[in-house]
Amino acid sequence: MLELVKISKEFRTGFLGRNVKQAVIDASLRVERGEIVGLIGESGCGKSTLGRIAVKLLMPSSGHIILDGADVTDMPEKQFREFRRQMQIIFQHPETALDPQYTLLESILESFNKIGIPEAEQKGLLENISEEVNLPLDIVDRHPNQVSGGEIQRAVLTRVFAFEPRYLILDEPTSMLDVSVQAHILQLLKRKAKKDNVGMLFISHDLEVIRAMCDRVAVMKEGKILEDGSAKEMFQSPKSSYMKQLLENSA
Amino acid sequence: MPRIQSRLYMPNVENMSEKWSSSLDIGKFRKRVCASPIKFTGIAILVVLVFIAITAPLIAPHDPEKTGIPYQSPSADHLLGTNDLGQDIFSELLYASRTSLVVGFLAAIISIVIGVSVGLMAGYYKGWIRELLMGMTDVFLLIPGLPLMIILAAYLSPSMWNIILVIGLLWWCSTARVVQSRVLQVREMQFIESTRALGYSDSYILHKHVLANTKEVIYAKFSLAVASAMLAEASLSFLGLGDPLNISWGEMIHFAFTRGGFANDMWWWYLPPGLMICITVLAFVLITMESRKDSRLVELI
Repeated sequence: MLELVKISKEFRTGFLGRNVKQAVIDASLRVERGEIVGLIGESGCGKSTLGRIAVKLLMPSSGHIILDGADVTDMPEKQFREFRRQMQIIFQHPETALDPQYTLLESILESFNKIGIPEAEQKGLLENISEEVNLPLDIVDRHPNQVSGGEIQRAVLTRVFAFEPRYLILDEPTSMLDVSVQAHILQLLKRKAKKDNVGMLFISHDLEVIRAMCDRVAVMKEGKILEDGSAKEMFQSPKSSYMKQLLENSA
Repeated sequence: MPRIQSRLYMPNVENMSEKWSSSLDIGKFRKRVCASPIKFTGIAILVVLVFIAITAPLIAPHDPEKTGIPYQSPSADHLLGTNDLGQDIFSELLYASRTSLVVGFLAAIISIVIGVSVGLMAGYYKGWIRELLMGMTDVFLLIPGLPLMIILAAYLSPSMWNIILVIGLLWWCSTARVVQSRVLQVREMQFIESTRALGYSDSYILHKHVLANTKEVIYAKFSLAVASAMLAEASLSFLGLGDPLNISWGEMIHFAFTRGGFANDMWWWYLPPGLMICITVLAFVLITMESRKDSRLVELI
């Protein structure tokens, strides 16, 4: 179980950090393995910040990140690298998701090499994963600007799936893709969650996508998590007025 | 990333090998020249200049130190006449390309190495490191360059190496600024974060991703740095602060000025070195101009 306990994050800007912006306030959230948890909220509500904190790309100002019972919050980076394999993050913008200087293959091999997969097995692994994520192998020697956003996102998935992560943070992974590609990738993610028992935190502002994907849903506004419950409950009888409003707006 | 390339799994190997071999054949080469004629003009001029510098002893008609009849006008034997000591000016001109190019390149390398390191660190790390490094850069930018170089060159003994050091150590600030602003842009791109999420260290990311995406800026800045280093060297040498043992183009003009070349209106003495400086600087500017045009990345320069 990936657990975020009372996470707060403040950004300080300006001279000597005089301007303080509270991005996340006291947010608690848990993701079980095999479960897809949706995180809804408008732009700037702190949901992406929370996602980055979950994989320790950002350090929380206070609170704890607990990964399968181990508190990794203040773990030094060297020690934490072991845990990196277990949780990965996928971002929103496919056009900058991979380094434009390298081919898709080179970016994918970056993760293979990190795990230390021997050269002889790389080809087989690439074939396996690319079949799983539907990445055509004849495009892997192209550069990111020569393939579509959907293909880049598939390459990103290949790169991340090689780690066999237990938890995945998906920061609006499909919001920049066109609808048919979006549906494919969502299906693929959902299948992956159930098949390999991966816990996913699905960050989105798209209620329809959340409704289709998630087992549980949390709503976030102005840095706080307002409500947290099963998807069914949340969509049928939301308690918070904000969620009600969101549902009304989308209806 | 050479390590990865060596173990490339290539789905269509034939295609790839074709791509490699074809970069050598002449048709492709012509195509590339036509695609960016300005750049290749610059490169061609540069190749010729480097060739002249390397083969100076072979192609120079006379030993530039051998004295003879002074103040000769251009003739078949002395293409650009002789100077006040009767030395052949054309041979001297060829030999001087060595000093000018060496000073230009080495000073540019020093300034680029310092500028890139400072810019990279200041751009990638936040907080006091950036404040310190950029503060330092601003201070250096405020120092009036040429007067300081003149003072330093006057106090240090007049040698080529001192000139290289003086130019290199004072000319890095604008590189640092440009590189820093590019790095600031690159570091916000998502592949940086996702590579970090894979568990790679800062030094790996800086090297493989940040630097790789900054290299176009660095190349362009480098060729401009060579040009400005050569101009700085010419200015110092013209003022008489150059290395008398390694004559450069700037120094030739200096001698033409102090030993009566200007007074006697001997254009063949002072004009050719000036033209050579212009041509070389132009070559570097041409190389940069093209990459500025075909890349959005170099807008910063």
